[in-house]
Amino acid sequence: MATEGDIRPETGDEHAPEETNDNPRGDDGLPKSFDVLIIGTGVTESILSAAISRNGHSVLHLDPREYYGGTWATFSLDQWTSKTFLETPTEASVCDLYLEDSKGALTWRNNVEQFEQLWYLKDEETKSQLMSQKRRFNIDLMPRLIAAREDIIQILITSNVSRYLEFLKISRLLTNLPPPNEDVIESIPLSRADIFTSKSLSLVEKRSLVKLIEAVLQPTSSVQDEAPLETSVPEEVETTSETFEDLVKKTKVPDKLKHMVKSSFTTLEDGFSPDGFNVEFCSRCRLFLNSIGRYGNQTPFLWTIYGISEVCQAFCRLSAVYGGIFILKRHLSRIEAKEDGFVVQTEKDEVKVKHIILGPDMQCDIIGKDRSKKEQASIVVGRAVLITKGGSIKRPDENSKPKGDGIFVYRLSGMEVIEMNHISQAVPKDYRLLQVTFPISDPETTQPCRSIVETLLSPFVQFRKHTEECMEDSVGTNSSSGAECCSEDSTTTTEETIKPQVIYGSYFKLTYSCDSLFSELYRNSRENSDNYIMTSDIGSAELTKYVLKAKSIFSTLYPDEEFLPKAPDCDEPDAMNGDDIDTSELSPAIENPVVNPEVVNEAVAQIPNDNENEGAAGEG
Amino acid sequence: MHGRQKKERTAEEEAAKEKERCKKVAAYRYAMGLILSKREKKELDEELLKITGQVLASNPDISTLWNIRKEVLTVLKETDFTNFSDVVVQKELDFSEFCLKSNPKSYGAWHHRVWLMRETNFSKVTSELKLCAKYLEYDDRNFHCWDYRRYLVENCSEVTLEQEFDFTTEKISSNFSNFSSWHLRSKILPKLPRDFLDEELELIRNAVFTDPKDQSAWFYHRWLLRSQLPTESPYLIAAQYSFTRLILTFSSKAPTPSQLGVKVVGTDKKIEGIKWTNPWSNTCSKLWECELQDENKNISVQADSSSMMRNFGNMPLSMKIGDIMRNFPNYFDTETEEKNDKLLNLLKEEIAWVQELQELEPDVKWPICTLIMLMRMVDFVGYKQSILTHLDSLMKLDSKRVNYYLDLRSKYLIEWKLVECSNTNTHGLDELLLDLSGLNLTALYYPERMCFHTKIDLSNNALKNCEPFRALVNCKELNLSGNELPKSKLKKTIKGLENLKIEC
Repeated sequence: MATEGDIRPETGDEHAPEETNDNPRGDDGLPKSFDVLIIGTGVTESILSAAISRNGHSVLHLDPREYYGGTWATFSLDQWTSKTFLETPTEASVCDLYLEDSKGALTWRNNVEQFEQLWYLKDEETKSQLMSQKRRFNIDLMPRLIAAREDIIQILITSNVSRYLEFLKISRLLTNLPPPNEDVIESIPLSRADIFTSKSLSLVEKRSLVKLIEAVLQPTSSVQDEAPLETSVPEEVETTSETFEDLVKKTKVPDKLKHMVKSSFTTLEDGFSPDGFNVEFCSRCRLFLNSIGRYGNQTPFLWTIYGISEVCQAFCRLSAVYGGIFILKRHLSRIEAKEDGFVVQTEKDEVKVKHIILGPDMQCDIIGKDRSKKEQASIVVGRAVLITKGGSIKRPDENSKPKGDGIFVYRLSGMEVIEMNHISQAVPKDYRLLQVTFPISDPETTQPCRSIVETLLSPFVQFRKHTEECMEDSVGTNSSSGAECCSEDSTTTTEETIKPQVIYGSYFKLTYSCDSLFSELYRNSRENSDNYIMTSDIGSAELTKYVLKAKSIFSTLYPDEEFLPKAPDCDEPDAMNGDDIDTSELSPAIENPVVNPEVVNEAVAQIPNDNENEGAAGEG
Repeated sequence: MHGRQKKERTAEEEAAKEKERCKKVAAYRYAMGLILSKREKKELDEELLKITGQVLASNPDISTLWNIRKEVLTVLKETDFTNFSDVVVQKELDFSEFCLKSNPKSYGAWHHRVWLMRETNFSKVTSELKLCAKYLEYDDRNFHCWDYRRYLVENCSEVTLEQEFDFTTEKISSNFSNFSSWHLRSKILPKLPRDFLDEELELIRNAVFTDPKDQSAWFYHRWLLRSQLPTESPYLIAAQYSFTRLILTFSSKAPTPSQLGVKVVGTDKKIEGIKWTNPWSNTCSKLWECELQDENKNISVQADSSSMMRNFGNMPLSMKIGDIMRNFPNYFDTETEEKNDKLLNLLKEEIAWVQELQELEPDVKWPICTLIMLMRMVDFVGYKQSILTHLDSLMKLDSKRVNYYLDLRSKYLIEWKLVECSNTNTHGLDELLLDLSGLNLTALYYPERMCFHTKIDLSNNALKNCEPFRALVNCKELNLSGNELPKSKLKKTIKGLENLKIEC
């Protein structure tokens, strides 16, 4: 049972909610009332949790699942292969909703469909070898690249949450050429240095590529640095009416380059919109181009070490530091609107809350309030997670220069393939993890993801088994020369003919609702204050939209308060300040976690902590 | 290092800072007193090293202390050389690096390293190069570090030029806008025993096509092509002997003729004690004159090296009073000098691609500047019209430097006029009229070539500077009307010129 001291972090911060007799505890030690109840631990909910808790409001944060993140979750190999994320918390599937004048229900939404997995290499040895290193895997359900100037980075820095996180730079962006040269992979030069050293571009191509980039950057280039947070605000789009195609025409960029730039900045949504490369695409290009050089010269993108779930957990941690209470695997059965808020029935107890925020996994249907389906347009994304052996997808020679092993992003025939080696902490040494994402424009399509992926990626990786000889060969060379990067250099000659071998593959469809602009599900207007049920449901490949969503919900609930002001450095004397800190170099896990997970009561879910991963990294 | 925002301090912080500062000043005063008294007493020992070290550690910019350290080190070196080179030097290098950590741009700390290198005959040069690489990784605009690296490259034979060359390649690849890397490259290239020209031009092309507005590669290009031109020491192109005055004109700016090995021999023996002067009292000049003390009917101008007299048949130049001997070349500098076919073809190829880029980017000035240079190199007379057109567009594009372009234009116009003049007037010197009127000249170039003209028309120009007129020693009629020359200055300047009729 939790005592007061257990839950309360010893930060001595004046914002931590005062526990007085006004807020008595229930049977399992949970206080009887909270300001806000949040359900779901995706990124929007986590940011909100941190922002609300940070300002001294009490937060009860539940997730019916047994892990953090929802679709932002990250899994070890055993969790992955046992399909943890497919388990629908059955008890939570319906929660009754009694509102003032209507009734309704919350239903559980499962986003993963048609999951299929198979081992391409059937020999048990490889399998057990992988399984013995299962905790060295950090497999994202939905991998996310973060552009260095996206709002989320700014928020991580200003809120000081960045101290819980570590990022890697994406070493390169590559693409295959349009048909008939779809087998040829070329790296996409976007920074000045890359364009300058590129050997695949002619002089005139270099000139027109730079011109295109300059044209894309032009409208707001001077404003960018001063107000990085404003760059992606939708209103700004109107300042330039030129579409990407306009600029391409204006700068006379040859098709090859157009393809390269397009494929670098395409996101999943573009795959669904008929005029994908519109004005908004332009403003996204601008954001990405401005991101290049902030943390290194190669690409605009950063990758969260240990998986994207870390981002959610970092915000949850900040929330917990300020007194937010987290419980995983906790369901709701009944929500009832009352005079001054809601009474919420969970499995074990009843709490009173002022506001409720529902994550995207909760579908809310209110009788009489017909939210038409069209508002809830959803995107279906094809996904594949492949584990390969035998080096990297063959890259053009010029990439030998930045010996940047690590993470490479390929845009192959409309698919995004993120290839990671062990440096990403997503896969053990000698293996590669391929995270494949692609749009499925017709959700009714019967073609399984597996056949789509196998067809489109077969020029680059080997799905069927090599002859025994080949395997022996590449395994032999790999193990003979210690360090990974060395072995790669020494085997480049043989790799020219041998494609990486897929050992394991899993395929599924992931559904998320697209770009829903409204948040308010229900408002109970009172004399002094309103009580809300909000949904943080939003689906996008762009993190920016999740951040904006969190901000907008926050400002509805607390219109006069600052959103995530900088948290004081209680444990790090020389902590980061301002804009100039290279988040990629920030220390990984803090040495003395603010909240020691062991002292927190078992009913209260574990505060997210990197120690687990560190432990895994220390093995073997 | 760069582009960081200044943090505002609160009054409280400011006060704390002030208190801290007072404490520091007291400690500093005490330590300095100690150091200076120790030095006074000639106690140049390890303890002195220690105290100076303590002060320098908090402020590495006190050069006095670094110098005192050097005094101590010199003593230590004399007393125990092995210990000095094995232990002390490494300690000093470590200490200097410690100072660099707090201030990577400390003059004293970098200079100390230079001194240590010299004292130890560059024995630790390899690790020093690594240190430079590290500091340039932190900040590739740290010119102290670039200077130090260049010092090592230029002074230590152990530095492998090929490796240095690769280092600059790497640095240029990561940021081609940093001229420091190109500069170091330009110091290494001439020493490399291989042909690098094509490679370098390719590199430059890649840089300027990527960003034609970036001047680094263009400057390097200019240096590279100019380095292909033959270097020429000045030689005699004209001489004039009138009574006791001898005037010599050289192909390029030269120190005094005596320094160049030019002798004047009188009727029988060398005339000693000649005092050479030039109208502007400069240390180097194309024009030198002297008054010969004794009257010599015939003199002979001779030189130690025969190339000095190459325009006069490599022979001593015999002159009698009243002689004017001249053999002006039909070019003005190494750029306009005639070139061999290989170089000429290369330059023509250069013109081709720069022109291509210029057409792509008509609003960028560097391709145009480069084209003008290249055209001057290939055929400065033939390209007259193109050069003028390009100068016009430069003045429009780059209006801040319009006066510079006007001066360039004046220079080229005078060149063309002089060439034209020498082509039409091959003989007959007396009634030489040089007509430079109405050309909108802003400056008078090559006055040394005009010192033989008796009639010069400079009317209706925009001349502002009177100084060049000092060279017009033979001019009888000088038309300066329609210029904006300051009258008072003009009078002073041309006081020495006799028989001068000036129309203003």
